[in-house]
Amino acid sequence: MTPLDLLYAAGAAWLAAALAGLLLARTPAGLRACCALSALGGAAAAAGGGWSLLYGDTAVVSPGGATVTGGPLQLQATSLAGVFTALLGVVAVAIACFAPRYHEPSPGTGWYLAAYNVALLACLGVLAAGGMVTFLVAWETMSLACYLLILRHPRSGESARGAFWFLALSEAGFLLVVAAFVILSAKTGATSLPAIAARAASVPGGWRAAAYLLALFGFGFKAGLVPLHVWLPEAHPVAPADGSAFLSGVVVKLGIYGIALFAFRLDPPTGTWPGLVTMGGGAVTAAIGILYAMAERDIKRFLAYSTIENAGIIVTAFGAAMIFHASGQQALWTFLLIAGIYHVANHGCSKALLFLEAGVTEHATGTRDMDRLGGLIRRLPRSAVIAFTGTLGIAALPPLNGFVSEWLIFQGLFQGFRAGSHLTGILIVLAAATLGLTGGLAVYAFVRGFGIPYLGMPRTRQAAAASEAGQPVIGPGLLAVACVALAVGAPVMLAALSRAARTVTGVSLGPLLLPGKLTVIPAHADFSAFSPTYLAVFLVCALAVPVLIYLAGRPRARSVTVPVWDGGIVSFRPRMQYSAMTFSAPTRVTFDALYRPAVSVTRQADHDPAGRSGPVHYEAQVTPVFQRYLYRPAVRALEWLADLVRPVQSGDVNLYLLYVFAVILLAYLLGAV
Amino acid sequence: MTTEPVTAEELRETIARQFGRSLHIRTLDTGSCAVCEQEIRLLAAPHYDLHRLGFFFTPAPRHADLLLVTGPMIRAFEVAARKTYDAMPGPRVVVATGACALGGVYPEDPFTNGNAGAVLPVDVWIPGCPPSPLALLHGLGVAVGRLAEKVRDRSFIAPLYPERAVGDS
Repeated sequence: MTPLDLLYAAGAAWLAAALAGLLLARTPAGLRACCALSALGGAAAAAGGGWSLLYGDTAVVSPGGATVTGGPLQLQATSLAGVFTALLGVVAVAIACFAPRYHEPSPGTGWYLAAYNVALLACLGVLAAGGMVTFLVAWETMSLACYLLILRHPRSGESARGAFWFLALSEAGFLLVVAAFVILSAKTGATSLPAIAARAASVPGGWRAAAYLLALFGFGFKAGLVPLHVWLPEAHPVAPADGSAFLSGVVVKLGIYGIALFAFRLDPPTGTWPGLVTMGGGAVTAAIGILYAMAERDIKRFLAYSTIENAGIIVTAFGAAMIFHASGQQALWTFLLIAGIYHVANHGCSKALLFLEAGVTEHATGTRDMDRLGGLIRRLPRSAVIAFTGTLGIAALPPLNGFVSEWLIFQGLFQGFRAGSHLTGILIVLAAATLGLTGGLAVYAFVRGFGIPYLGMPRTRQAAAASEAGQPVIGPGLLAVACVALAVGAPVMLAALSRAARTVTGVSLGPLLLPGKLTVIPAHADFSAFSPTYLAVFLVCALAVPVLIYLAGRPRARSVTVPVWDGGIVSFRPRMQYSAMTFSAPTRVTFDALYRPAVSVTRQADHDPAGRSGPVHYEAQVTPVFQRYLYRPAVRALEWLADLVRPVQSGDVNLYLLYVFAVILLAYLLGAV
Repeated sequence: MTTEPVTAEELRETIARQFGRSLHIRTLDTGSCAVCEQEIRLLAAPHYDLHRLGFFFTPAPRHADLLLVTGPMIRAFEVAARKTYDAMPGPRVVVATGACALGGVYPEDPFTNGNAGAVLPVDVWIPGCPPSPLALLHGLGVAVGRLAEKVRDRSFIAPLYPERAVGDS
């Protein structure tokens, strides 16, 4: 038995869940049955993924000689994909616990769940693909299934728009990915992934670099690299909460898997510059992602931009790893691969959690607008605790999981001085500085993202009436446990990841990375060391100190509860609180050049014949720079080209018959020659 | 029973011992003509230099030990005065400063309470229109003695007004 057998079981369960969703989701019991099957599949995938981390790569198999669209169905469970598979499984289980309480039993839900489970299956196919054709077919199936799950409410224009952005950019990326695979396959004469990887060294450097760049951009569309990211903030808000959690937690990570697959396993390009391009793209993505997140009021759009930021951080780590590889620093190469993949797992869990909680908030209050929420910590206490765990994780604050992996990435980047040339060393440290700015802004953004909806006073009646009754807790709670486990169990996780990385890079970091006693050393013993486990224990103990002081002092002094100090005004109203937009105003003013805000101020007085001053209406909107200055011209150019070709398609049957005749004639003539 | 510190050394000693070398004052203008404030401001000048004794001014009632009230406590200011007092942690002491706060200038009418004691539990009254800085210093010394007594009695914990739900409900 191999990990692949568990993955077969997961696939079978998800296929059954898709059918169950289609047929049974009209009743509550059927909905639960479908989700139970889906959870079963998730558990099997998580187990299979975890096992394949330790097991190593299996052989490529073609079950029963089956074929997909002409090519053989080739499957393989690899260590590199193991992390992603385990993440897919965990997120699937959490969503399966969440979904029965979130969705109404109805035929629409049935279609949605069928699309969702097919998407899970397709993701598994991408991760377990052992051959090019299998990979591409699974990849395209995943895109189409995700398009359907985003389109849960097809009659809403906004929903159709978001789903269309996703589909259009997915297909554009798919073309580039196909081109990358075709180049590698044609030059190596192989279609199975291990064979391509084995023979890639014999391919000329120019072709390898071309294939890598095509893959970087192709997968970059899924991973959300700027400027290929525009689908994320459009598609996430219109998808159901669990769909968004799946998109951000898993689908975006598959884009990153694709980049890792090309950069580390199939086709490690030679020379420094592909690494520099990757690292620069990642750093720019991280900074722009978090800056746009600061300007968002919609919780889900905010989270989507934060996903872009984190994808940028991971890709920066990969880029720096490639640079180290090119300059012979194999230990750092492996180390940054480990750190990047670790961040994939951490971000996947935290972000899926936050999207599920965004769904809870939306269900409980009917809005996702931060400026219409507030005070939810009293009304949704359990959700608030869970969301707070996820927020700490994603804002990279100790002792949670995001901090551990970001710290490792920083430690890798700070060793840029080992990269051989001064210029690349400086560029690596520059990328580290950009990530530093990003990290600081991320803390700021998530203080806002948690503080505005959950703390303070409710800003609307709906927010004041929010209730936790009937809201899903187990699903997001599971992810919160995963976040804590990933932080406290970091040494275990790193040991597993270093085994996985060894199968790709051939460098064993085990004893150097983990010299015992729960300490982690980033690749070089003379640089730094740190223990995530002890840090977590220490911080929890430090938090206990004020509690102990309170308990010790309680018998002697009575505590007094008084209202918040409001400056002595007669009535303290919710509208006097910081709003999401005022909280982020310093950033919005500082980075004015990026946001290009369109501000409109209308005064009642301007229309009042008596000149009385009245309410002033202020509205500020961020200009969608990429949509307006990049995508709109591109679409116009495409339409212009289409117009040029249009005369050929007159719609006249006689003309088409003429075309047929001409083609046959041409074929005869060519045959004769 | 009097434990008032009388000399500057005793005052400094008491503040150093009981209040960790810093006793913070929050001033509250409840409709004063601002002459009392001028005199209070003079306390910080080198001639009187109340900081050498360990007194400091703070804008936040949460940090304050002593509430220095001026003016006749106009009714419009009542809520703010109560909220300020409630926001102070115990032990706390209220000092009414100047003839208005003592009730010597304005009678009670629909617009003023006439004196600070109508709203707040005043511990020390400093007369004068305005009180001279030396009178203020003396009054502050008396207030420190009163504060020290409250610490001894442990009688400072109960709030003046029961908690009211403000805004959030």
